[in-house]
Order: sequence, then structure tokens, then C-alpha cells
Amino acid sequence: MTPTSPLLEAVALSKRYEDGLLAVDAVSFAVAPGEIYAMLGGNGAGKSTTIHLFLDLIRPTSGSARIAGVSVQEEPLRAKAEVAYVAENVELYGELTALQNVEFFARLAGHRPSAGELAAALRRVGLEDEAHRRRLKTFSKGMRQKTGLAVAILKGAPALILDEPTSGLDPRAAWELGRLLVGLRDEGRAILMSTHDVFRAKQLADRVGIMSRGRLVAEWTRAELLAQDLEELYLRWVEAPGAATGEASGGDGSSAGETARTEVA
Amino acid sequence: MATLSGRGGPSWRIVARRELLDIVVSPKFAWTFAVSATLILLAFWVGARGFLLEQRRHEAARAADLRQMRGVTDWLEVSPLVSLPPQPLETLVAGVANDIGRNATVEGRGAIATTGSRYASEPVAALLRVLDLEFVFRVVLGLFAVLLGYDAVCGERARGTLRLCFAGGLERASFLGGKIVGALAGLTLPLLVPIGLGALLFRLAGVPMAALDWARLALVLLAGLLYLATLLALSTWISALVRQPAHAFFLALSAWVLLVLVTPRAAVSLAAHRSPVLSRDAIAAERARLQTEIWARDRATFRDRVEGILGPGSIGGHDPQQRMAEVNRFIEEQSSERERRLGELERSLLERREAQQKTQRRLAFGLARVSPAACFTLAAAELAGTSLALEDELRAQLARYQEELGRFQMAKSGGRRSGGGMRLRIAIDDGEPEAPKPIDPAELPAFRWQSPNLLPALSRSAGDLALLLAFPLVFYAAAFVTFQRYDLR
Repeated sequence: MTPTSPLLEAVALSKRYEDGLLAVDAVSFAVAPGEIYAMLGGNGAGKSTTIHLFLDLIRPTSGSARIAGVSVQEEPLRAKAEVAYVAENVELYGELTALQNVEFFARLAGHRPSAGELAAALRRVGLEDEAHRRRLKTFSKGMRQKTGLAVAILKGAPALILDEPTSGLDPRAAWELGRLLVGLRDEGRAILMSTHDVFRAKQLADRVGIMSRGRLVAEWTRAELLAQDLEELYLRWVEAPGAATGEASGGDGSSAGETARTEVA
Repeated sequence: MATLSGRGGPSWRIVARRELLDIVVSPKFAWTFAVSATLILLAFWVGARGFLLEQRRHEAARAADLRQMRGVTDWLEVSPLVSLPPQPLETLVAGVANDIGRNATVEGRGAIATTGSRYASEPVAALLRVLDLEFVFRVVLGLFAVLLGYDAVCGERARGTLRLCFAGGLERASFLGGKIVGALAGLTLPLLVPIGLGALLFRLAGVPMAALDWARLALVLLAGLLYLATLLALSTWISALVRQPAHAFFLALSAWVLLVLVTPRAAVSLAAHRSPVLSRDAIAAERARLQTEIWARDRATFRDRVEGILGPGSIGGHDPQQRMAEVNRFIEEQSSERERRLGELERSLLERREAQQKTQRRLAFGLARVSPAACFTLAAAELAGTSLALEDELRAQLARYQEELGRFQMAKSGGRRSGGGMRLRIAIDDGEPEAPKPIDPAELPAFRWQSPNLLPALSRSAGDLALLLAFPLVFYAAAFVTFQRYDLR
């Protein structure tokens, strides 16, 4: 893998459940180092399923997910060593303290951080020292989210996947989270986040993809969005993706499939 | 702060340490530990008190029996009351120790009937049973094991931690192994404290535990550990079968009721129904019937024979001592013949009973061993020396003692021994009668209970220990196979 190779890559990724539901339909995209990619979409659009395919929590029907060039389906443990994950509702072990939680997950990832490193990671995500020894069950959602991010940071993985990270957070907590993500992006990490939050997506993402009914129906770069109203685009694409296409091309040519990359004029 | 740090190591150990820590700091641990520790200490305390009380009763009964012999002038009138002395371990693992007859009045020959089971004298205890260590492990700790394990997988899924663990690259086998080992450590390690205190209590109370008794107790605890591991692995498997903790709780509790409470009893009932056993009462009745029959015939023979000996023209001339010796010899011959026939009948009936019992036990134990609880009970009783073998051992030792007593009486009474008939004594008025000398009870051979060796007990319990070792592995394998298809989301 060259330095410019994507760290997260979906190639014609599909998932059809046993009940026949096609949750993800030939989705292709890539996230490069130092890039934040936001997947926008409504409930049931396939965002979480795509993330679960990257984490090997479910197996794809076809296509593949790659992390740092390693196929998740073929070498799940090696691939997952290169990615950290923050869930929508970070529910760590409630009876354990923040320090105990981050230490546990760091050890699972094969690290043996010192007490100082643990505390530093928690401070970095904005958790005051007094909170380090408090049980997680006493934490607010924002604090749990920060702890989850500390777990991800301590893993030291080059890729980071976040499922609805700002969902349910107050504006300040969401702003702090955004600031942290930008900091991690600037360190060269590839960040894939799913979100409903159009504002936050536009603010943070280097690229935004819209998912609807299991398909990645549109994708824009930050530059392309500068002059656009993302909310309006989002509503148009989610409600009537076919009609809104205008002109759908074969994307960047590397992942033609059925995934459309829509260039917005 | 308690930490997970230590030697690092493989993933299952990291999961196990986290699980242990999670259990130890949880409120439910405080509750389970308090209950378990209290019950274990109570079991030791009740055991120590019970043992000392039984020991005093045993010594008092022996002393009373020896007192009764004072003034007796004929060794043939002596039939000592012997009893199984209390054993320290039977207070911790009761087994059948309270159910079997522990006393027997032994004569020089004849059948030995044991009486005086503790439950016969204390029916309340028979109804509600006693609180012993085996009960605490089998029922209380067994239930806590199920309560600790039922949400091992589905609980983590419901809390959202399962995704996070596996997103980090954890292997499923390591996760399951770590959960079971951690929960087992969380359940058992803290119990070392009350068990240690209980052992100290035994020592302070003066309960005479020999080194072999401690070894037996250690083996019982090992069997208990395997039993708890079984229930943890079983409940972990159940937790991987369903997605909702509430469903897992219901299933795990049902499994516990079925395996711990229902299966052993159902197995015994079924075996008793399918394979009945000749009762001891029936054997006694059959013996009594034959005895009555023989007696009726012997009485007539005796009359004729005694008339022949004592009447005019009798053998032995006019020497009354010689004639009495002849009568007694005849009585002895009759008694021996009677005993031989009764013994033959009894042996044959006992053999039949034994064969039927073997069949019934094989069936009952075979069915019951589906339940890990039954395996633990059987193994613990064998290791503690309170299994069904205790009754057989007591009978064997009583029979040996009877032989010894019989030989002693024959040596003291000119070839005669007590039991099984009558004796005639003739008093010849030839002046000042010589007062018979009282016997010295100290000369009487004492019944000394020999504690059975550990090796035969180990050999008998090997099957159950092997099953207790296999159960966790089987349930772990089942959990692993089920977990392979588990939706981690």
C-alpha cells in the first residue's frame, strides 16, 4: 500500500439479509489518510450496515471492505487492528471507571499503556481528571462519547469509524467532538462517520456521500459543497434520488459498479 | 484503583480480568458474596457444633453401655451397643450420614440390625434437611453461577459493548473463555475467605480434622469448582442462544431448576418405579417366618432330646455337670443349625436385594448424572466418605466386630457365644454356692471405626469428576458453535 492509498475502501459492497432486504447495494467509496468522509442518510439508508460490514460484525453478500489494504472478510483480525470504532451510543462497562474502560480496550488492542498515557488520552478528549476515576454509569452521553473516542485514540489505529457520533449531543459537546475529529484528521487518520447531522457533515467532512435505500447515490467534495446548500441537496437526493440525478456519471472510474458519483455543477 | 494491569497476556485473560473486575465492583457481587459467605460460615459453624454435640452423645452412649455391663457375670449376656462415631466431614457433606442407622446391638452371632438414624430421631431435620457445604455449593452458589453467566453474551449485546469488543479484533473463543474464567474467578476467589475462616473455626472449636480429612475437603471444593464452571458454561451457552437478557434469564433459571432440583429426584423416582428392590423389612419378615417354623420343630426335638439326656437311663450317667454339658452342646448344635439355615436364607435374600439395588442404583445414577448437580452430590459424598458406601462399610465393620466378639465370648465361655438361641444353666445345691464373678467390661473388645481409605473413594468418584470436567468443556464448545452464528450488533 502506498502512502496515498485509501485506508478505508468499500468495493461494490452489498448486503442482502435473509429476509430478502437489500440493506447495502453495491456501495463503493474510499477514504484516504487525513480525510473525513461523512455518510449522510436517513434511517434505514444502509449507513450502519456499511459500518458493520467494515467491522466484520456481519458478512457481505458480495463485494469487499478493505482497511489499510487488508480485506476485512479474508483477514478480519489483521484488518480490524488498523481501525478504531466509536458507536452511536458508547456503552462501555458501567461499573468500571473511565480509566479501567480505556485500559481494557487498549489492552484488547494489544497495547499496554501506562497510567500517564491513559490519563493523557482522557484529557485529550476533554475529560477532566476528576472524571477519570468515576464509574461510567454516572457519565452523561457526551462524556461516554468522549471516553469512546479516548478508547479509539489509545488504539492508535490509522483509520477511525464513527457511527452517528454527534447524535444526542448538546451543541457544545458536538462542537468539542468535531474539534477532536479535525485534530485526528490532521494527524493523518482516515475518518469515516455516518450522520444525520447535515450541518456537522458540511462543517467537518472533506467529502460527503449520501446513502439512500442501500445505495451511495451522491458524493461531493468540500470544495463542491462550498457554494451549495447541503440540506437542500440532501433532501432532494434522499427523497427522490433518481429525479435529482440530473447527470450521474460513472464516478472516478475506479469503482464504477452501480454506485453513482454525482458531480454537482 | 483496581486495574486490569498485570502480565498482559492473551485476549481471553484480558477479558477474564475485566470480567472479574466488573463482577467484583458490581452491587450484585456485594449481595452474592454476603449471602454465600454467611452461608458457608454458617455451614462450618453448624457443622462444628453438630459434630461436638454428636461426639458427646456418642461417648455418653458408650459409657452408659459399659455401665450396664457392670454386675453381669456371664459374657454371653453381653451384647454391646456399638455405633458409628461422628465424622468431621459428614457435618460439611452430610450425604447419607444422617439417614443410615448408626447404632447396632451386636451379639456373638446372628443378624445385625442398625438403628438410630439421626433423621429418625429428628424428623424435622429429615423433612427440611440440614444446611451443609454441599447444599451451599449445589443450590446457592449454583444459582449465583447461573445469575452471573446468563447475560454473558446477550447482556453485552444489549449494552452495546459486544460490538466494541469485536470491532477491536477480539476472537470469539477468547471472548467466551474470558467471560467464563472471569466469572468463575469472580464467584469462587472471594469464597476462599469464608472457607478459610470456616476451617479456622473448625480448628478453634476442636473438631479433629486429620490431614486426610483436609485432603478430602479440598477435593470436595475442587468438585464444587468444576460444578460451578459447568453452570457458568451452561448459562453462557444459553446467553448465546438468545438476544434478550430477559429471555436468557428465564431459560437459565429453568435449566437450573430442571438440572439441580428436578432431574436427580425424577431419576430416583423413575428408577424405583422401573426397578423395585426387596426391602429390609421384607427380608426380616421372611427371616422371622422361617425362624418361627424352625423353632416349632426344634422345640419338639429339644424336648425329646433333653428328656433323653436328663431322663432315666440317660447318657452321661448321674453326673449332672456332664449331663448339662451334653444339653448345652445339643442346644449349641441346634442354635448353630438354626443360624446356618437362617443365615443361608438371609444371605440369599440379601444377595437378591443387593443385585436389585445395584440395578436400581445404576439406573438412578445413570439418569441422574445427566444433571451436573447430581454428579457433584455423588462425587462430594464419595470424597467426604458419606456416600452409600458408608452404610456398606459400616455393615462390613460391624460384621468383623461380631466375629471378634464371638471369638472372645467363645474363649471366655467354653466354646459358646451369645445370640441365636437359649442356654440352660443347672444349679447344683451342694452346699454354699460360689458367687459368680462379675465380668470386667474393659476386657470386651471395643468397636473401632476405621475411616475408609481415600483411594477407593477417589476411584468411585472418578466417573463423576470426569463428567464434571467434561460438562464445562461440552457447554463451552456448544456456546462457541452457537456464538459463531451470533449477530454481534
